[in-house]
Amino acid sequence: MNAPRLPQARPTLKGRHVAWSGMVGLVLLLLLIAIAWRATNALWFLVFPALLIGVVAAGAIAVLWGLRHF
Amino acid sequence: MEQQIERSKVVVRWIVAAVIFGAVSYLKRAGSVTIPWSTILTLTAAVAALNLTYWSILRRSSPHWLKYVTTATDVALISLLVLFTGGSASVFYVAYFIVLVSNSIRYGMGMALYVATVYNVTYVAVLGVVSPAGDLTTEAVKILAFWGVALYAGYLAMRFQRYARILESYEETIAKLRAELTGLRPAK
Repeated sequence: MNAPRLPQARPTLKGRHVAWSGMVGLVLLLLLIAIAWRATNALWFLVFPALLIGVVAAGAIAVLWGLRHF
Repeated sequence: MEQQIERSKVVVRWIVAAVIFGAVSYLKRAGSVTIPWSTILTLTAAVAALNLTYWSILRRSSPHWLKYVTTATDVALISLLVLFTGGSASVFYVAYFIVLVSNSIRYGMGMALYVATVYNVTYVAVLGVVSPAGDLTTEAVKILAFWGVALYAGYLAMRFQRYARILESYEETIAKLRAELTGLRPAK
């Protein structure tokens, strides 16, 4: 006898959202590297917190999506 | 809980301040740093005054904002010490990591991100006042390395907090089951 089918939970995050956040993360990472490499004024380093948190958040979303968390 | 943590931070702050004061005095006598004695004494007096203020607040209560204020002032004072002892070339740069690691382990990922952000802002201010001797890329890598340590320390603290919560729930379940078992036992 087959086990009763449980209703499938709706995904909270769709594939296209993950793709978009991945692209934004990549752009932020490239911006981070560019600033670290070519900056001529230390004031540019003030944007590091926002860029880093963005990159880490996008990376976390991609990893959790890969692990089928959503 | 937070009151206990902040009280232990006050004790650690006395020890670290004494060690740093000894180290700066030694380097000053050896001629390795050019910081004036008046600045050394002013910074030491500032640490002592702040620590006494925190202690008096903690005797009565532990406001939620206190941990953010103590951490920010610690990072700001280290930045001043770094500024007066050679900027990016200062040997006291490592003192930032004491604040980062001790706070991240105690409070978790949120505090790790807070410390890293305050460090980022204050260290850029230091670089603005004393231009680095070498390439700016080296300074960028130093800042990014600090962020790396902050994220890793925060992650480890998060995992530790999760295990502590699981252990706590197991202890509660064991205590509940033990109480139920005592109730089921027939009276002799």
